[in-house]
Amino acid sequence: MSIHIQDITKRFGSFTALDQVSLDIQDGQLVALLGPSGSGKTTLLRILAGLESPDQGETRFRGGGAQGRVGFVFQHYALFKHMTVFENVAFGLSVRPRRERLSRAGIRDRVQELLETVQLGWAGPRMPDQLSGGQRQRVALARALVIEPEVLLLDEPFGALDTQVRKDLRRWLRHLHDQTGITSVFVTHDQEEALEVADRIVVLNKGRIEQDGSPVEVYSRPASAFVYQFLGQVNRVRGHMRDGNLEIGGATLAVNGEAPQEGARAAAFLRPHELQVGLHSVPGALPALIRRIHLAGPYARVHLEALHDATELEAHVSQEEMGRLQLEAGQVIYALPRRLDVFPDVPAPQDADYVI
Amino acid sequence: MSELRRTEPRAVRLAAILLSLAFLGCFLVVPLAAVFAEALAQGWRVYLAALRDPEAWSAIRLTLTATLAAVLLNTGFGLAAAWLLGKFQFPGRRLLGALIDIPFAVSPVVAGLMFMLVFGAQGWLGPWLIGRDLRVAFALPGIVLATTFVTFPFVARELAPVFQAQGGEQEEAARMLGATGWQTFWRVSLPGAKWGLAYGVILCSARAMGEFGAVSVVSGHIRGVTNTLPLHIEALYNEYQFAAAFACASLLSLTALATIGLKAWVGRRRSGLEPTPRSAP
Repeated sequence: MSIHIQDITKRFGSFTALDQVSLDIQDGQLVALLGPSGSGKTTLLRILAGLESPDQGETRFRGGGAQGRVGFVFQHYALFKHMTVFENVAFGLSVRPRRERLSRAGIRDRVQELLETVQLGWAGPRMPDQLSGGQRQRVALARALVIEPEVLLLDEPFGALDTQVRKDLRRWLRHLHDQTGITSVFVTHDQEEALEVADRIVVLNKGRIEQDGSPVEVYSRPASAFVYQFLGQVNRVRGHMRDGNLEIGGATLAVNGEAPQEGARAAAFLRPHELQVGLHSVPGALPALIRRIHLAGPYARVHLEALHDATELEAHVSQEEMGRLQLEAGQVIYALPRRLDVFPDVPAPQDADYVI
Repeated sequence: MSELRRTEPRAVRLAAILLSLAFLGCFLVVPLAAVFAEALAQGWRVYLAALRDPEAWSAIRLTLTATLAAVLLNTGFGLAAAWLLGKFQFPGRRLLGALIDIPFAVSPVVAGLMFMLVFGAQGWLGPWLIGRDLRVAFALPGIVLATTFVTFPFVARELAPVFQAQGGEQEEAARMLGATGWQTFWRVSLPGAKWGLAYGVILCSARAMGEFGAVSVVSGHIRGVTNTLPLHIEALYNEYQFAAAFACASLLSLTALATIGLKAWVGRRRSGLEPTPRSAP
């Protein structure tokens, strides 16, 4: 079933949660709504579920059966605490009008089958509070799937779980989607999760869509400064535009992207692995002081401070390169951006958590 | 290894424990024991005779009837009010909450007088009711009304925080699974709060059985007709029939003890299963 979202606006008092958002989701897609808290992603999901109604605009589901059933998975599972796992999963079947309801045995088989699918075939008689967080969330998924939804909506489904469990469940969700092909939309503030699981990422910020594309597009060709800073680690340098190049503290750097006006202030972004560290000055390199070096991990993380305006930068240097350069804290080196994407200068997002 | 001092010195703890025990002993245990001792002072025969007395028997039946009626009414009302207070935000919500607490604030005697003012022979509705041969004051309906009024905060106050602590997610989940509002209430919200409801009902019954002031005003003290058990005890006591008075009093005390036992049992069942609210005022 495909989903058509047209000009949705939703306000809570004076706060605009969604500002004329339009989005089309094709049948069978697995879409991530990614954004910081307050970006409107959960509101959009709840509107799709019918749990909130928009102030303006409309949502339409197309191509499904007459029922248009929607499965919803909550961040905190929202299991019925006084029911067993079996009763939780059976709930969606047992509340149907008698005419449409399966027989007792039919319900039992269907629930058991779903519990097996989520690898919890043994857990039917347990109470939810006897299960771990990851198991509870799988029960919640089974419960949502039991009604054979044509759309599956998940609100930060792994947000309350430990890192390792999260990673397992992510893969599992992807696998489930590949098997069932249910059109699915999940909300997350975790870019790694979105990049790993989704076919398509819709980045939301302040109630608007910043970018909509495949994980590769969103990660390697961010459409805005916000997306650049929200997805992955990033370095940000500021300067002025001159002859289509960015001038920073005497250095002239070639840039990608739609260059802002001549003379305008501009911000340029690059990932830490796109910053090459050298011992000698080359054209376009910025002199910088090494503040700290973290050697642990697959690559060394070198924290730098640009000499011209004390901008903090981070470079990822391979271990072999480290061995060759013999870098030490306190040393001055030359940092050469291999690639720079430029955007008109915008104030840094307020959610400092997401700025690296 | 030096041990961190986590508690008060032994002497202080001991003193606090002894003080509490002494206090409880003076004000609870000894008087309660005295009630039973006094009730049985003239032997089992007198004790049983006092309870078998037709007037005592009528008082017991009336108390049970009024309690049952008050509990049923307050369960219905309490569920509705707690549902509103716990699950919804609406204009006047705080006012509703404050109104529910009125019976806690108003002296039961005043409550009784209020009903007399409305339903008494000289009251606003009194003449109209008497004209249609409907007795409210000095009859069972008045006693039920007074008991209901005095006990009506218990269920609502006990349940509202439970409903509130449940949040709305389970209801939303039920809705997403295709449940109607009715199914959601009976199968999700209410079972999730059943121990809170039981707690409220227990408190409500205990208070209803023991109610004296409000009922005293509206009952008219007609022996064998409108005397509830507490009123009957008072009457016996005033007539120096101590053994009989204490026999009936011991019966009321037993219901109180049973209530405490039930309350503890429900409290244990409930812990962990339901969000436990702060205790009612």
